[in-house]
Amino acid sequence: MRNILVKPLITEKMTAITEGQMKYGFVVDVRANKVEIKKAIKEKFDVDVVTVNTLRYKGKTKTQFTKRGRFSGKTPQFKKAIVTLKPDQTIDIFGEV
Amino acid sequence: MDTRINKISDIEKEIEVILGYDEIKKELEEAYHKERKNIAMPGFRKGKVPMGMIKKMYGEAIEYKACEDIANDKFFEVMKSSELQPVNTPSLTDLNYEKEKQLTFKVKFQVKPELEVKDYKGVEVEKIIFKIRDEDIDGEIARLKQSNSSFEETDVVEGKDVKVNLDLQRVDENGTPVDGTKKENLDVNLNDPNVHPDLFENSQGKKVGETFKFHFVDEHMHGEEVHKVDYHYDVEVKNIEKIVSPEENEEFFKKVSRDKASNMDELKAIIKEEFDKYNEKQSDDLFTNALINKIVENNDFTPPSGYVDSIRENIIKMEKENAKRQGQMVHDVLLNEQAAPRAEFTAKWQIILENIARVEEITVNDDDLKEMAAKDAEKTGISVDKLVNYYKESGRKDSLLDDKILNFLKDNAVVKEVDAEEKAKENQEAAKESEDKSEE
Repeated sequence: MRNILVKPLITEKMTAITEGQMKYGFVVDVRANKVEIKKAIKEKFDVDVVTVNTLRYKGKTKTQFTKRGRFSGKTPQFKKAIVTLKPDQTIDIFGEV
Repeated sequence: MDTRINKISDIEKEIEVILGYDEIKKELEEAYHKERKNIAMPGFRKGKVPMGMIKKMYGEAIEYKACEDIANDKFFEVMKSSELQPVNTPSLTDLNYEKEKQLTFKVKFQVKPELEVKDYKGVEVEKIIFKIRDEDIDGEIARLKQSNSSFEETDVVEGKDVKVNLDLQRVDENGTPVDGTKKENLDVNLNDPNVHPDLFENSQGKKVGETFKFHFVDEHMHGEEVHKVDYHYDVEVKNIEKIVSPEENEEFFKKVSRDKASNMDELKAIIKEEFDKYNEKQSDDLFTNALINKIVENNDFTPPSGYVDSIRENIIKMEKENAKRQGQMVHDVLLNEQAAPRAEFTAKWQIILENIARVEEITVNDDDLKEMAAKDAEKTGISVDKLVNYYKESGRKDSLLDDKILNFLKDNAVVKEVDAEEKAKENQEAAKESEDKSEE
């Protein structure tokens, strides 16, 4: 069984969105769909999710030049989920840190 | 804010403070805002980390530090309102913060004790009176004459009133010169009582360019053994000058007295007056010291260690500065040992003084400062108001208070005048007796 919710998304931008629009960000498993995310949030935080927006990020290609030649690799791909809760419901996001 | 002052001993007190959350909330928030500026975290620019996150991660440390600062501020606030004066560095013994409820802390500190000073009035103290003898005045005139004498070149060394310029070469018993021991161009006044008799006698009748021998034995102690070293010198006379005393005329009297005297009687009167002033000051200083010693002796107590330490530190600092000015080396351990009893005595005396001032209600008010400023204004030309302000800021008030108390004690002391010569004889006899006893 895989973990749907990887970690909360705690950045300056996301904190501003949370404070202004009551939306919470999470890094989620790339294979998880919106329904699974909604269910996982409900189970973990006992809150009702109104909307889930997801964003997929492809891994970046990283190249390194060494004496032995050129090495190429990729950073992992990931998925962000921005969830909107029912009014008056909150998640203690810093409890997750 | 609830405050309780507990008395641990005469010199130690403890203050207990309880502060409600509302009283410290503002300071805690300020502390968070202050710390926020310096906290950096991945995902945030420096100073932009959300407050909730800071509270979660660093809350305990920030609040503890803020509570220490609050305790420090509140302690001095309480001290100011209670008019207590700590004499050492206060120590925070118990700091307890119940989150969003209250802050309690205890601080221990030392204060100067309130003493019942006894036997400070009617103290019998010897005042040593120095009498001026005619010989002292004659000696001073001779010294003035010598320091104002002139020199005339002459051919031969004759008598005491001669200044000779010599080259000295140390030689061994066989008369062979010792390498690196030649001293050239030494001026020697033969009328100086410190001149070795052998040097004086052997130089008599010598002319410029002539030589003579000179020998003396240096005796010095090596532990308990006496060491004797023979010194032989070959001496060459380089120059001879006769010391000519100035004539006792009006010009001389005016020169040495800075135009105050024009004849011998007037000069003697001026010298006598100066001796009188010096003796009176010396006599007064000795009397004051004896009086202070006696009062401290009559009131023995243990002064607060923190107060003694701060005085000792000041003494050491002062001694080090003096030694630095004079280019001398300072031995830290020795200096510390010497300063310790001085610091304890000064602490005792200062506490006794303050308690006498309290009991006798001796104070320094603005009128006293104005009176002193008026005197100083005449000498310095600075305005009275400026001087009064300066005295208030510079702690001159304290020294004026000390003087006032000391004068009060002197006025109330029983003075027993003692002749200086008789006292010296007494001391000599006492020293001899104690020596005899120790030999027995």
